[in-house]
Amino acid sequence: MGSVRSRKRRVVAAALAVACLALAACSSSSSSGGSTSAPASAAAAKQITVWTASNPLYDYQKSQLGLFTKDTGISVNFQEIPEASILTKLQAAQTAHDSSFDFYEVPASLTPQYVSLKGAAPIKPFLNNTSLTPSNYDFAGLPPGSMTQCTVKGTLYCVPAFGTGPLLYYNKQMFAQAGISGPPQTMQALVTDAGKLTNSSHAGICLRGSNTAPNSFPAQMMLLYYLNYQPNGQGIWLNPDYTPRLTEPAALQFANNYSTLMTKDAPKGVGAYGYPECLAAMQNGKVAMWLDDSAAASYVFNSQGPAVAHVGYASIPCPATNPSKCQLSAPWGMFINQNSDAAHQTAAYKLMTFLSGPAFQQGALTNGKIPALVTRPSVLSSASSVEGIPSDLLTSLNYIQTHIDPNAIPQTSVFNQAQQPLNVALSDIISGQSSPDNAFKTANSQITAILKQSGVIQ
Amino acid sequence: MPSGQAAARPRSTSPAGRRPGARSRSDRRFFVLAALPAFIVVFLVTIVPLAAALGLSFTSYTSANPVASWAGLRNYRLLFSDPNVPTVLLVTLLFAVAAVVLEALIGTILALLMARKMRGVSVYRVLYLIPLMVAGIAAAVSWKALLDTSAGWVNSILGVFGIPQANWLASPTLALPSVVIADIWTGAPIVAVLVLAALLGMPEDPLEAARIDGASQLQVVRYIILPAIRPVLGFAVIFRTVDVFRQFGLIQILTGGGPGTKTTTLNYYIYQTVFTYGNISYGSTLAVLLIVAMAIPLGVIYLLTRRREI
Amino acid sequence: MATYDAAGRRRPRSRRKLAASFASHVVLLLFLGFVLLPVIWVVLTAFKTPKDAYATPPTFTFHPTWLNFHTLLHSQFLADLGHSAILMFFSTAVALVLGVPAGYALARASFRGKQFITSWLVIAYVTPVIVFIIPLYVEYLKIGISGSYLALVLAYEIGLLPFTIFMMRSYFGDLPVQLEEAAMIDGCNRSRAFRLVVLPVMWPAVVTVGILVAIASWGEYFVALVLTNQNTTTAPVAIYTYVGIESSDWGAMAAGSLLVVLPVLILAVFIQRGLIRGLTSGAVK
Repeated sequence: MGSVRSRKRRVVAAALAVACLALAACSSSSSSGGSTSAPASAAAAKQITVWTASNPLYDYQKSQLGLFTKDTGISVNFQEIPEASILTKLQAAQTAHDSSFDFYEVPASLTPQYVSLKGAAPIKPFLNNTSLTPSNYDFAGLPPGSMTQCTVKGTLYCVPAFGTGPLLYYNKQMFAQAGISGPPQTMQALVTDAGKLTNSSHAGICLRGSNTAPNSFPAQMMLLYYLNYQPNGQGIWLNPDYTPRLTEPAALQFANNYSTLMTKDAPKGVGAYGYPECLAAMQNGKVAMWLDDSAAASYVFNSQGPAVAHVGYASIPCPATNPSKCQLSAPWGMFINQNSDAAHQTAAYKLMTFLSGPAFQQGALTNGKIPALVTRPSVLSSASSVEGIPSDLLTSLNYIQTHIDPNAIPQTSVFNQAQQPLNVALSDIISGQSSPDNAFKTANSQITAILKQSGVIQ
Repeated sequence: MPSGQAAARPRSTSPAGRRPGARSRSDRRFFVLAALPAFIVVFLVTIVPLAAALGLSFTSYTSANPVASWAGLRNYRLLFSDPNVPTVLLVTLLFAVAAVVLEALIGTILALLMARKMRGVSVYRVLYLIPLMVAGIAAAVSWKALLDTSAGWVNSILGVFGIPQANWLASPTLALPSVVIADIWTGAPIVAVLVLAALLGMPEDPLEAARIDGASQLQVVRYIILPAIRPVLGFAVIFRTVDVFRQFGLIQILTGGGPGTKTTTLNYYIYQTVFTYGNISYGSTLAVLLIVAMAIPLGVIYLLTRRREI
Repeated sequence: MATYDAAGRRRPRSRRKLAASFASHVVLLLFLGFVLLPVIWVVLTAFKTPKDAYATPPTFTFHPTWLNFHTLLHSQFLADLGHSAILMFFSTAVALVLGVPAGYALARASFRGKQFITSWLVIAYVTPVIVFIIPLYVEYLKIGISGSYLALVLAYEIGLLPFTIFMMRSYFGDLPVQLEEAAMIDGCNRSRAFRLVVLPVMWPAVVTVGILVAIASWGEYFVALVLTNQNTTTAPVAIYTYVGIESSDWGAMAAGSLLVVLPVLILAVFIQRGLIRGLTSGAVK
């Protein structure tokens, strides 16, 4: 009896062990090597792995990889990860010093974090190596302003993957019906126009207002027009000594205007809106204008959904107090994984020069009709008219790329956390939970507390 | 099998002490061998992460400064000065109580109805399983679309009855109820399935006896069925409480914790702290707080629903 | 069930029963409407063009399209469904094979360390997975199983095993001890009594727990997102790639959700039949 039982038990144990081994074997081919001690040679690896978000912009990158492989002989394993979660996955991978990917695309504002996790390789050593860099690459042709967020303590760690900045999408017909001759030229005019454009059949303006979207980006775009520009400040709303500026009269002025826009002139429920909802409101003729990231332009004129009727594109010109640096730009950057070996890093660098090179960007514009992928002003201005792309869009994108605030996002380590009270304040304003003045005053003191706690300010 | 066993029975651990010696020794060996492999797997997988989390809560490890330098109780003191902690605890409490109570109530009622012998009842038993099968994120995205103020079906349907458009996800009063509703969508059917299994396993003799004795339907439920399903219901409630405390995807997709912090639960705050702000050590401290906070309701539920010993 | 004490009370009683049945149907149907609301949304959206999917107010009359399914079939989605199925099979198997006996032991036995085991399982179960995920990633990379099915199954078991164990403990706790006593008097030892007497009786409970565990692993998102690589990506993660921050392809997302739900639903219809048969075959009564 006992021997039968123990034999059976042994069989079960063996079966379990086999199952475990089978599980491990099934997937052992996929686990990464992680050898970081490869010789520092210029020879490029034959295959590299890319981690990026699932997004139409990157779908286009993926579609062009055949050309890259043909040019260089390097094949690319292009992995698209859910956009809302890629940062979570990447943070775990970087903490573990994972080398199973060689090239990745994430918001450039996170550069300091990836640098401190030792997951971002400096770009300059590659750039300086003429044998690796194509002769027509023209690094200097990339707008320097867009490069600031890729730079930590003077070292460059990424190159922007696409261009972004505040862009106004507007419905020309609704403007005409309201007796407005053209897009607003100042933020004050935007607020006035939004009021005029609001009627029973459509709202005046859409700004994404959801915490997840996040709401703070369009708001900070506007804020940069309100606050007096400080060349040596630590970002849009931080003084040189890192104290927040949200209680300045100009900031409170913004808060009140924002409150008017979001509670009176925006679609009902805007507090839960992200890009897709604002876009749908434009498509369905439920809103007269939409202020958001220019990267969304491709979805507007190239939309899979209903075409946006009578759409115009405009950049709101910089205010006189800040004539040349008013465009908040927060692009995603292309990074090389520092944990990969030299051969893979070299190959990743080649992909980086391909995806940010003039030829690729020209193709994205004329063939792909995705102007958001173009960061080079030379490409944007050389093509004054591209078939299928509205000329006012090209003009606006060029304006953005040449007026980027090089100091828009503070490069402090606690910046992300310091932004949370602002997000909450904006959300409170949208939902009418507190007055604009109170919301901003509370946010200001909470941000001060966070920055004090981390020793950034005394 | 004798009837009436379902209600209460002695909790005996060995077969009544008859024939001790060899039998009880082999019994003990069997029990240890039955319990150990499962425990070892869980132990081996969790020991390192748990130790790491506890350890990191005493350091100042962040993504921006990934050095585990000793910080003593600083993170724990921060719990008391962080203005978000009381808010977040309150939201967690409201969310957990509302969701779990409603899910237990609705789930039990549905199970009692589905346990009836009537035509077509198996259709419900299958269809009510659907919410369990829909991947959580797909459900959350559907609910976000359904609850959209202008384009959502919910407001369209309510509009038919003349109810004005509600601002479900973006208003400070309705955001949390919206998340609760979406959580009930999966939670109530889970409770229903668990309780249904217990009901169908119940011996019928006591029920029949009670009916013959002229007990009303309510009395049958109150005095025979409820005591019998209490352990399973208690487990279902504990299970839902834990799940609600850990709820994350639903909140991320529906509201992102907003408006303001109206739907930021402790678990979502931990996610933000660890992954959005990169403050891993403080996130670990918050996780310790979460485990402590969870122990209180779980202990209460356990004591309330534990089988009465005789 | 059809035993009536007196002919005189039979008619009114059955009329009352009819009314009760009617009321039950009303309540069940009302909640069913609530349950099916997102399901109908998913089904309709799966067959909508993007134009119709984003229409305001929502449109219910549209030309159905296979476009979304076409998109899915030209991606990795079918492979991802396969990965999900493999993961579901192994994680459910491990949870049941290890968890059911453990649940039985915890319900019946008292041995040294039982308290410790129970506490550890509770802590593992209640700790949010967000806390586990980074250390697990680091560990898996160190021992070289990162991205593998083994890594994922182990991570899933953190939640699934304690769930199975506590669930089964609760069901076994309901079982009269006389059942095993009788068997053991007849000469069975504990192990045989468990396998030959207890398990067959508890089969419906095991199936129920198995379904819940399988479904939980089938729909898991967060752990799969972080710990999979492209050879093990699961269907929920694939579905979520269609939900972007800047643009969402609701149609493809919905079509994917449908493809995820359908096989499980069909399975559930069969399991449900077996389940009811098991329950009514007299094993428990």
